[in-house]
Amino acid sequence: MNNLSDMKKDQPFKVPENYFENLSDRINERIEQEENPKEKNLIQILKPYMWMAASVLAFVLIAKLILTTAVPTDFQNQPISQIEDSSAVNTENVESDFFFDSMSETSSDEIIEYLSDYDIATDELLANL
Amino acid sequence: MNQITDEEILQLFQDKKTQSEAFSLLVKKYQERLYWQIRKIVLSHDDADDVLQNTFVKIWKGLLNFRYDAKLFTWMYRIATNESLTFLKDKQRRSIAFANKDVEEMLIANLEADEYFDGDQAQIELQKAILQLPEKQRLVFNMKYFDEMKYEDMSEILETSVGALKASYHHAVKKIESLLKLEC
Repeated sequence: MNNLSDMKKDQPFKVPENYFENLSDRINERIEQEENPKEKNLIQILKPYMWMAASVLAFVLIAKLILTTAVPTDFQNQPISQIEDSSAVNTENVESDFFFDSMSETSSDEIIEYLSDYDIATDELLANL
Repeated sequence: MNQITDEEILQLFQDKKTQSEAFSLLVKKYQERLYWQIRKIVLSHDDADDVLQNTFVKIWKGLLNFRYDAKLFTWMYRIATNESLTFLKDKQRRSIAFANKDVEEMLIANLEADEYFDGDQAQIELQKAILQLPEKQRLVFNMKYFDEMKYEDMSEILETSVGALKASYHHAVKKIESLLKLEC
């Protein structure tokens, strides 16, 4: 073979059977999708948020699992009202109890020494009563 | 029955009610010619199918603004050619295997893997030789040698002068003949 004119020009390419018969319908479908992107893309739009939702759900489930195993079961079965009663602590007198306990361990001499070190005038003390 | 003219299709397309029907007529009239134009550039059938659909979507979007400065057929061929070349560049960029290679190497691999390529050894060698041409010469060679397209139409599609196209074709033929002689 010396030049191109000696070669047969038959197309070596083929197409699937009925390819051209269905092509027009497929192209029309594609154009409809392009014209109405909202209908087409609902799942695609939600796709990035699905990962976020899955992460939050996984976190909630893991947290629930940890809390369920960490809290004692007898405590879990108790009604809320009982839990509140049993765990109630009277905090109203905490400060004063602490104050008077500390005071009882302090002698009068120590108080006098403390006050004299800071040189507080009697009038000032009386004014703050 | 006489085939509907481009003017009739365009008139039907201007009316919203007949727009869809007009476009179906246009697709049916030109689908094969555009397919083969694309197929000779991208070589594999699956790629040609993708590019043909993209091409018709672009034609749909641009058809309302189409003015008779050019023939409808050459305007559509130009879209098909540009879509094919853009597709190949994108495909090569996305491909890990061919990222650092030429588009031509990717095309040879596509051709060899394509179940819808049925050429004998001589035709495979011819396709490989065509792939060694520069892009513009390859387009000109395919349009002239296989489709026997007029230089005037090619000039509108490729936006190149008739003289330059004739020179391109001449160089392409010489190069392919020399490549095939080396192969024989």
